[in-house]
Amino acid sequence: MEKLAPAPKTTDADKKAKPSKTPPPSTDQDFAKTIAGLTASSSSEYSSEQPLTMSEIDAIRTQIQRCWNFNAGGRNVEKMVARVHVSLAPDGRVVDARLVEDSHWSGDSFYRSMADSALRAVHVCSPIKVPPTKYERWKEVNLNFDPKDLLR
Amino acid sequence: MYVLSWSQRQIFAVLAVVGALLAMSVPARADLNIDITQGQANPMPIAITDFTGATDQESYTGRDITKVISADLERSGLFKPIDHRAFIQTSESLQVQPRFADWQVINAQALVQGRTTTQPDGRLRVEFRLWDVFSGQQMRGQAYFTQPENWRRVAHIVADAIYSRITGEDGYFDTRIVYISESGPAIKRVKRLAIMDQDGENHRFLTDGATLVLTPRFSPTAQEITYLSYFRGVPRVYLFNIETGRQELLGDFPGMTFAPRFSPDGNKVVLSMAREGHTDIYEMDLRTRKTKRLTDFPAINTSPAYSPDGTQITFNSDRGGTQQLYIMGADGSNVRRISFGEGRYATPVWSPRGDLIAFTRFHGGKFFIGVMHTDGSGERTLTEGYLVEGPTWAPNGRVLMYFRQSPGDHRGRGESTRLYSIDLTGYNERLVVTPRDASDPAWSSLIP
Repeated sequence: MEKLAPAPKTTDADKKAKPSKTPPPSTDQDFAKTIAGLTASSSSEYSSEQPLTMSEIDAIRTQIQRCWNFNAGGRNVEKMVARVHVSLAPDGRVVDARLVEDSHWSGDSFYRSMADSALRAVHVCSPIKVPPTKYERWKEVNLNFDPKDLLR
Repeated sequence: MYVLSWSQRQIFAVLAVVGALLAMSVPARADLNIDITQGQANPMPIAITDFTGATDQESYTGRDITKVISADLERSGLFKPIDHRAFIQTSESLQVQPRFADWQVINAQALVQGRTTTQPDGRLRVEFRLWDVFSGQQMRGQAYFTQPENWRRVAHIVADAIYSRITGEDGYFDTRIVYISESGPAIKRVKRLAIMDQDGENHRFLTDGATLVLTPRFSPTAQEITYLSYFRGVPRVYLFNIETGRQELLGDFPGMTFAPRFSPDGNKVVLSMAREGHTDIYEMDLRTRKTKRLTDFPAINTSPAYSPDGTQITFNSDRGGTQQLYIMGADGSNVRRISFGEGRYATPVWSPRGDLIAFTRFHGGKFFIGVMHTDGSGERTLTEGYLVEGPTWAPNGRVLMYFRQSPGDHRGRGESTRLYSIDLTGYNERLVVTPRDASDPAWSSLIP
C-alpha cells in the first residue's frame, strides 16, 4: 500500500475553510416561525449592545442541530464533546470554523470522525440566520457539540 | 497484493500536515457559547467519481471499481452516493485540480477521485484520493498494486479506507460470509455450505448437499471453517479448509458435538457435547487435540462464544430454570448470569469491539435479535419477527447479520428464509441477496 502525499496542486486558498453555498435546510412551519421571530426581534428597538435573547440563541441552535449529521453508532461517542469556534460575517456566512481543542484529533479516529462531523455541520448550515443588528454579539461563537443526550 | 512502505518524504508530509493541524487550534474565548445536543442520523452525501484510465480497458476497470465502492458505502447506510448526472466537474478535469465549489453546490460533503494504471509488469495500480469538500483538505490518499483480476477486492479495500476515515471505525467490506444454502421441500431439505463476498459476489458452494450441515463459523484468518455435519445420522463437528477443500472430523467425542466456534487466536475450538441427558461445553486445542471440559452442571449449557481477547466465554444455559445468557472465564471459572429478561435467550456472540453481546431472544411467540452490555445492562432490541435468529458480527462490531424466516400459507407455500444485515443502531436493515434460501450466516474477519 502506498500513501499518497497531499496533491501538490492544491492551493492555499483551497485549504482555508470556505463558507458553504449549501442552502439552509428545508424548514417546517414551526421552524419558519422561530426564524421569523428571530428576525423580528432584531428590529431597531434593539441595539447591538443588547444580549441575544434565549429564543434567538435557540434559533441558532436549532439550525445547527438540523445540519449536524452524526454517526450515532461510533464507539464511546456519547463521552465526546467537540468545541468548534466559528467566525461569522455580518450576513451570517461562516468565515472560519476550527476546533477549539484538537489534541485528540490525530490520535483517536472516533473523536476525529465526531469532530469532523461537527465542522461539516457548521459549513452545511452557512449562512446561519442571525439577528442582523446584534453582530457584535454573535460574530464569534463557540458551538459545543455534545451527543450524550442524543443517545439516551 | 503488495504493500509498499512509506518513504521518508511521505512521512515528512504527514508530519507536516499534523503540525499544521495543531497550529490551527485556537484557545477558547469568552464568546457566545451554544450547546448542540441534537443531530441527525442521515447518510452523508458523497461524490464518488469514476476512476479514470489512459486506455479503454483501464477506464472500464476504473468504472467497475467505482460501482463497487459506491455500492459498499451505500449499503452501510452511512453514506449517500450522489447521482453522477448531478456532477459538474468531470473526472478528467478532477485529475488536474478539484473545484470544490462545484462539489459544494451539489451538496457533496466528501469527494472521491481515483485512477487505474497498468504497470509494465502487468499489475494494476489503483490510486484514490478522498477530499473534504468544505476545507479542501485531502483526508486520505493511497495506492494499491494487484493482479488485474483482483480489482473487486481492491475496490472493497478502497471502500474500507473511505469508510474508516470518515466514520472512525475499521472497515468491513473486504470480508466474506459463509452460510447454509437451503433448497427443496421442508421434509427433504437440502442444506449446503456456501461462501460469498459480503456483497454477495463470488458465490460458491463448498459442499454438495449429500449430508446436512449447520452452524458454520470462520477461523480468525478466514481460511478455515468449523461447522456441524451429520455423518450416518450422528451430528459431529468438522473443520473445512477453504483453500484445499479438505474436511476433517474434529475430535473423537463419545457423544453428539455441536455449536463449534474458534478462539480469537485460532488455536482452539469451543463446542458443546450432549451426553446422558445434559449438555456441557468443551474446548479443544487444535494443535494437541486435547480436550477440556469447561462446564459441569446438570443442564443444557451450549452456544459458547469467546470474548475478543480470548479470556472469557459467553454461553446460554437453562441451569436457572429458563434459558438465559451467562459469562465465564475461558477456563470455566467464575460463571455469572447476565440476562434476566422474560422469555428465552440464546446464541450469544461477543462483539469484536468487546463492549456488547448480541443474542436471539424468544418471548411472547416472537423472536428478537438484540444486544446488551457484557454486564447485562443496556439491553435493546434491533429487530424482531416470526423467526429471526443467529446473529453474527461484522469484524468492526458495527453491523450484524442474521437470518429471517417468513411464514408461508398453511401448506408452507411462500415460506422463505433469508439473510439480513442491520446497523448496530437498529437502522438500515437490508436483505443480503443469495441465490436460494439462506440461514446461519457467519461473517469473516477482514481478509488477510
